Amino acid sequence: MLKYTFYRVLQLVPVWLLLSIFVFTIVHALPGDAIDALVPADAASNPATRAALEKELGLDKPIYVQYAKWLGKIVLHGDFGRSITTRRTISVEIFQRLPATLYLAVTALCVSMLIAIPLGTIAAVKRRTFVDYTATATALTGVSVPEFWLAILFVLFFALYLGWLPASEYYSPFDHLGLSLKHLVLPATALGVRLAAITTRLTRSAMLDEIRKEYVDTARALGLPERRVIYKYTLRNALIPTVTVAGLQFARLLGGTVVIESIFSWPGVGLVLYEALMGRDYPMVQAAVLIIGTAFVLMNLLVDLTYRWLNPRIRLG
Amino acid sequence: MAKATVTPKHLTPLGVDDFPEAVLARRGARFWHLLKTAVWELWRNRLASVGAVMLLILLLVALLAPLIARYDPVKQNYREMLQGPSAAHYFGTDKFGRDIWSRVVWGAQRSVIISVLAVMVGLLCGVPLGTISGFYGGKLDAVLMRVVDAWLSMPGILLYLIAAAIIQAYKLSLFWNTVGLIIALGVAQTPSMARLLRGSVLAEREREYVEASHVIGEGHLYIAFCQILPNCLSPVIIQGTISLGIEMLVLAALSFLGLGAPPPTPDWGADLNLAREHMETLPYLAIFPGLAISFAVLAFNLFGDGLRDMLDPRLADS
Repeated sequence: MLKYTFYRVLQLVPVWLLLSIFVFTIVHALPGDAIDALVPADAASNPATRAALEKELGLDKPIYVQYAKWLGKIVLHGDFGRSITTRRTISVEIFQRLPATLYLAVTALCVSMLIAIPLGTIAAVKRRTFVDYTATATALTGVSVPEFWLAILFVLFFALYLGWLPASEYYSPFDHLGLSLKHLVLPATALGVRLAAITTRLTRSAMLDEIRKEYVDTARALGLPERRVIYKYTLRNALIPTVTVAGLQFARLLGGTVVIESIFSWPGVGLVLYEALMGRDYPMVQAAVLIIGTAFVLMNLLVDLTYRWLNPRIRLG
Repeated sequence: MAKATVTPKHLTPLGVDDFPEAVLARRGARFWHLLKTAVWELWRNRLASVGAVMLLILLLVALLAPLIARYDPVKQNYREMLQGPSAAHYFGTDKFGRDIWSRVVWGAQRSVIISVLAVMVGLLCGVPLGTISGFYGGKLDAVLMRVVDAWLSMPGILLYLIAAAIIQAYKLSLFWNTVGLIIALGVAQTPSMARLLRGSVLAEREREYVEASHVIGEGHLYIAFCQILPNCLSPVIIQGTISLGIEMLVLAALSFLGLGAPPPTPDWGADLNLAREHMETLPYLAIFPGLAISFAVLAFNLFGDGLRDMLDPRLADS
C-alpha cells in the first residue's frame, strides 16, 4: 500500500507537467498575440514597435524557451504573471477567489451526499415500492437536466416569483453566517443536484449488489436486527465504490462552477476563468486552468488512495 | 417478475455454455443473437420502451425540421418581438422576433447531428486504440494505458472550454466551426471508450476460439477486429448511448457560455443564454429550450439504461 502510494505520488509529476504543457500550447494556439491585446492596433502593426515589444516581452524566443520561463516562474516563485485586463497579479486574484469556490463546492458535495446516500439506501432496501420508483425517477431526471437550466429555473421560481431566496451576491460565512447561508442555498443546490442524482443511482445499485451477498443472509440467520444488518454492514461495503465515483464526480463539480458562478455572479475561480476566456485574457486563462487542473488531479489521486485504503482486499492483500 | 407468457424458445437468452466454440468463432454470432433478443426484450422493458419512443420523437423532429418549423429560425422580425405562446407562435417569440418553436426544432437537428457525429468520432478513435491495446498487451498496452490514464486525469470540462474557445477565436464559417466542435467533442471521448474496450478484449482474448483461430493461421488483425471485437460490443453500445446524452449536455453548456455556434444559429444552449436577460418578464423564453435539452438527454439515458438491462444482465439494476 505504501509502495503504491509512493508510486502514485511520483506519477503526479509527469501528469502535472503534461497538463502544464497542454495548457501552455493550447493557449498559444489561440489566434492573436499578447501584443495585440496590450497595445493599440496602429502601434501593433508598426514592425519596429512590434519587434521591440517582442524582445521586451520575451516573445521572440522559441516556444519551448517561453514555456520553460513560464513554468520556472510558477514553480520557483509562484508567480503566474499579470492579468491583461485588470493588471493585477494573477496569483492574488485567483487565490483571493478560491475560498468562495471551495465554499460553494464543498457545501454542494456535503449536502448531496447527505441526501443521496440515505435515499439510495432506502430505495434499494424497499425495492420496487413507491419510494423506490420515486427516488429512481427523480435521480434519472436529475441526471438528465442541464445544471444551468436548473439554476435558471431556481432563480425564476425561488428568487423572482416567490422571492424567498436571493440569486446573487456572496457573503463570507465568517462575516455574517445567516446571510451567507441564505445566499448559498440556490447556487449550491443547482451545483449539487447532478451529483446527488448520480450518487443516488450508484448507492442504490451498489446496495442491491451487496444485499444479495451471502454474508447478509448469515447475519440475518444469526438473528441480528435488520436495521443493524443494513446500516452497519451492508452499507459500509456498498459505500466503497460509491464514494470513489462520487469523489471523482466532485472533481467535475469544480468544472460545473464555471457555469453556476456566472449565473449567480458568485465571485469564485470559475467566474474568473469565464471572464478571462471571454475577455481573451490569456495569462489569466492559463493560470486558472492550470490551478483548477491541479486541484482536479490531486482530487483524483486522493480518491484513488482512499478507495485502496477503504477496500480491505486491496489494503491488506 | 413472473409472467404468464413464456419466452419463445428461439428467443430465450442463451447462456455462454449453449454455444459451441466453433459457432462463436463465426463473426461474433453471439452478438447477432443478442440483438434479436434485445429487440424483443425492449418490448418487455417498459422504461426502455419509453426511452425508445422519446428517441424516435427526437429523431423525427430533427429529421423533419424543415417541414415542422413554421418560420425561418434566423430571420428577425421586430414587429413580433417577445410575444407569449399563441396559436401563431407555439412557443412564443424571442427578443429578435424569431419563432421559438422553429428555433427549438432546428436546434434539435443541430444537437442530434453534433452528438451523433461526435460519438462516432469517439468510437472511431477509441475502439481501434482499445482493441489493439487489449489484443497485443505487453509493453504497447502499458504505454497506451499510461497515456489514457494521464488523459483521463485532466479535467474534461476545462479541455472542452479551451477547445471551444480556440475554435471560436478562429472565426470560421458555421460549417467548419461545427466540424471543429464535433472533432473536439469526439476526441474527448476516446480515452473512456479505449479503456472500456481494452478490458473486454483482454478477457475475450483468452477464449478457446481465439486460440483456435491462431492455430488455423488467421492474421492477428483479423482475429482482433473480426472475431473478438464483435463479441465485446455490448458495453461499448451502452457507453455510446450514454455518451450521446453527455455530449448533448456538454454542447448545451458550451453554447450557453457563448462558445458554441456563432449567433444567430439556432442552438438550445445559446437560446437559454439569450433568455437570461428577460427572466423577470418572460420566463417562457428559458423554459422551452431547457425542456428540449432535458427531453433529449432523458431519452438517451432511459434508452441507455434499458439497453444495459438487456445486453448485459450482470449490470442490470433491478
